[in-house]
Amino acid sequence: MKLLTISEAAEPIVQTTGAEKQVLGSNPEFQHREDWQMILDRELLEWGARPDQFADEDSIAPTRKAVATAYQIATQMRDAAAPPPMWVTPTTEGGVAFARRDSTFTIRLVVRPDGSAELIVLKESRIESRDELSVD
Amino acid sequence: MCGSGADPIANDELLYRKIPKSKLTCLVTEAGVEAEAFAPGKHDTTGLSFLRAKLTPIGVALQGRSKFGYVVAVLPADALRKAGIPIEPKPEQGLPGHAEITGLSYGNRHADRCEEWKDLLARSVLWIEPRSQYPHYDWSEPSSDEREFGQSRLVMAIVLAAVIIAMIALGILIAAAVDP
Repeated sequence: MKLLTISEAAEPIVQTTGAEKQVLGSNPEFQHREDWQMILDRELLEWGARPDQFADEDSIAPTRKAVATAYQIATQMRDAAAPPPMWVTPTTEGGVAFARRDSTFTIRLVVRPDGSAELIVLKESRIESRDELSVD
Repeated sequence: MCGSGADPIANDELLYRKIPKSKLTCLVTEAGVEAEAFAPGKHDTTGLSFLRAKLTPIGVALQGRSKFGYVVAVLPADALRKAGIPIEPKPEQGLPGHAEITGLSYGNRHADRCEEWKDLLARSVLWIEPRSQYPHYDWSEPSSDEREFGQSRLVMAIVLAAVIIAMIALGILIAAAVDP
């Protein structure tokens, strides 16, 4: 398992969603940044303020460490104009997951409760790569 | 609704996976259901729980321990079988339709296979119940955009074929005119 930086993590996301450029026009970066900013403002800030909203059944609320790391990742993804996730979700263990999916690829960036993170790329539902993410 | 629940799960059966409403807007978007909806929780020690639709009234499936209630993701059993995901009946007291994917449990939640199965399951969801409340969460039929795209491709193919035939006919006519 290799260690990726966040900008390196954004590369497979950009590569596997290359067709999106045709949909969004010649310069989708502005829209991507706007979408990430909405995730930062409307979701992660709110989750940090009220994490207990997700403590339910056998789910643990996202930890402050996980939300803080997710915020840091989202900020860097915004600055890199990476395509935004389709889902931002708390994990059952108290982490946060960002995910994108098309007909072939699934990309999941999972922040664990302790603030560590990994990037999982699946191709046709088979693991293509699974790398630790360096978040500093 | 009848049966003890011990009978094997048929390929034409539908399965319910409960999703807590507290996470609905995170896990379910118009793009589909996120794989985290199939992550085993700490109670899933022996396998990931499902309910068999034919043995479980929808009102029962929507209830449970969550204080906010549930929605239900509906999946076809044959999609799981085709993907190589084994699901077995595990009837419980008062819940004859209970079933489990025994290879997907809290103990192996970080395994590669767990990630792969979660992705396959998320891609297999047909719709969300109550369907009447969430009509925009229905992936069982192609969307109107997809239908229009398919129709426009068909029209383009017909037009293209007609143009090619016309060009061949014209070519034959010209050849006949030039070469008496």
